[in-house]
Amino acid sequence: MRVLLGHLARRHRFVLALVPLGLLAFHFLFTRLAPSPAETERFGTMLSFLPPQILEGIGLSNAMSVTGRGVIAFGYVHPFTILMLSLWTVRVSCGGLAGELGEGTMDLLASRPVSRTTLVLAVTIMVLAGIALGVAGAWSGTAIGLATRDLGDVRATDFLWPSASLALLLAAWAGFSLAVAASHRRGGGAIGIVAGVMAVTFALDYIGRMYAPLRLMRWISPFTYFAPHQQRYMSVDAVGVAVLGGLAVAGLVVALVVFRRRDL
Amino acid sequence: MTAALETRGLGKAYGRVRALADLSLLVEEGEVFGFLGPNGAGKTTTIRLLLGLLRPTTGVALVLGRPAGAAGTELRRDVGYLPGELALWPAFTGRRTLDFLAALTGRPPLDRGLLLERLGLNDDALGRKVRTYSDGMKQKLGIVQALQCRPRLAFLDEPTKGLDPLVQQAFYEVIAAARANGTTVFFSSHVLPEVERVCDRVAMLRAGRLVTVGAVDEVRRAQRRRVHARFTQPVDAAQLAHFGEVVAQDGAEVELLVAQAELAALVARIGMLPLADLTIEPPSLEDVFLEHYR
Repeated sequence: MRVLLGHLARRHRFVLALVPLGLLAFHFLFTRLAPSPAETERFGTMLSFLPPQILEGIGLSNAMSVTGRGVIAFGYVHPFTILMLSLWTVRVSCGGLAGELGEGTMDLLASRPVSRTTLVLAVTIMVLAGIALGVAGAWSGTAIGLATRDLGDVRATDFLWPSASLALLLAAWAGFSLAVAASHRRGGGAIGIVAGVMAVTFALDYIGRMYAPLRLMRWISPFTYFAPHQQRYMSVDAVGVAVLGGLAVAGLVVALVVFRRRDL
Repeated sequence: MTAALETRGLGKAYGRVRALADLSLLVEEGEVFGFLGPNGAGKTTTIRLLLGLLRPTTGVALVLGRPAGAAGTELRRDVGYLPGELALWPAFTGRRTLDFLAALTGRPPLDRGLLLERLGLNDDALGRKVRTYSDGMKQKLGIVQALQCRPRLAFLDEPTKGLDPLVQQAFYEVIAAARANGTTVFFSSHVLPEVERVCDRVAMLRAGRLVTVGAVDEVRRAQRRRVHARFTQPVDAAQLAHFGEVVAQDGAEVELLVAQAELAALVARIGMLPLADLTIEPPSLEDVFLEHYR
């Protein structure tokens, strides 16, 4: 396992360094964009002129969103954050299974005394470690920003749960990616499917917030269970944890079963 | 002697396409075993089944006395493998590739130095990224990774592909050295002279079925001889057809394929005809191969 993890880390070291550093800088930036307590009041007045559907669409659906805390929390659901972490998740999970198969290098791995379960678990550990590092980078950006700018009662620890929730969302996508990758022969094909499903469900969640007929279908999108910029998600959300955690575990189980039984 | 590998009724089908059918084979420890067949005969499928990369549709396989298959993780510690379509990590150096694969095998690379020396891969080449390697260099690296940990059983699928004649000679020495160390070599190829040269026994596959198996000499002996007779005047070839198959007649020259058991009687009969010259060619493995695949 240690040897395989080293192999995966070496293969993906560039992205493994890029994602946490990129997220650190991005979330630091949000602490600079967040309104101070004095600015919050003026900003809230301006936003009160916008229709509620628009506010919902841009993620500013309640009073909390226009506070310093709300703006920083919005960074955790920003497409850039999701994209960076998804890049890592999809690349490593699909590359580690379907990618090695498609390139032909899986023959050299699977003909060694390494069980298929170990191969899947090594990829899983690497994906989750990268997600944890990425999310830690994002939180570190917030923490460094808040340590260098006074935003009243806003504390870095306020964003521990949104960070954990973000990690859980990506873990759910990791489970799905692993399940797809375990059943495909080409990394490109697996990446295409996962990226397509992610894009559609992201759009479904986003549009569903503004467009009433789609609102009922939002429940099928994992992104629905992750909304750290809303007040209620600043504390533990049991339904979200159950859905996202369940997806992550189910995906991993499917990947293990399929990969153990398939022809390589 | 114990069996290094044994298969009983081993088969693999992809839907209606049968890649391998009813393969029963026994390879003893310490043998260099040649596995012959044209492209698509099922050679690579067999090796992949024995390594557990594919799941058999029928039959069983034992490798080093243990069931092969995806669950046979531990037995693969004693196995080396050179894939027919070798793929390596382009961004890795040669040295890193060998270190990684040896670490994954979990055995020290006892023979790496000797193999590198024999195959002419120097420190400079090992320090370069694999993406800069020629096909021949990649194949050399593939051979080294398969044999560096001194496996008890090595599967080499088309091992001389891309090697120049000088390196091929070095490779034959590598195989001789591996055999001397007690390694069983399962050698798939369609280069017949090399199989004839290095293998103790051979098996031939055709369209997924085993057509013959035995010692190289036995297989050759079982093959019909090519007899070429030149007479001083035209003869009726029909009077020789009783002894074998007349494959060609051109006036006073007749060519036949004759079983070894019929040779004495044929020579006696030909002696009664106006014979000018007689040639009896010992069959090569290539003759055996061609006869089975025509």
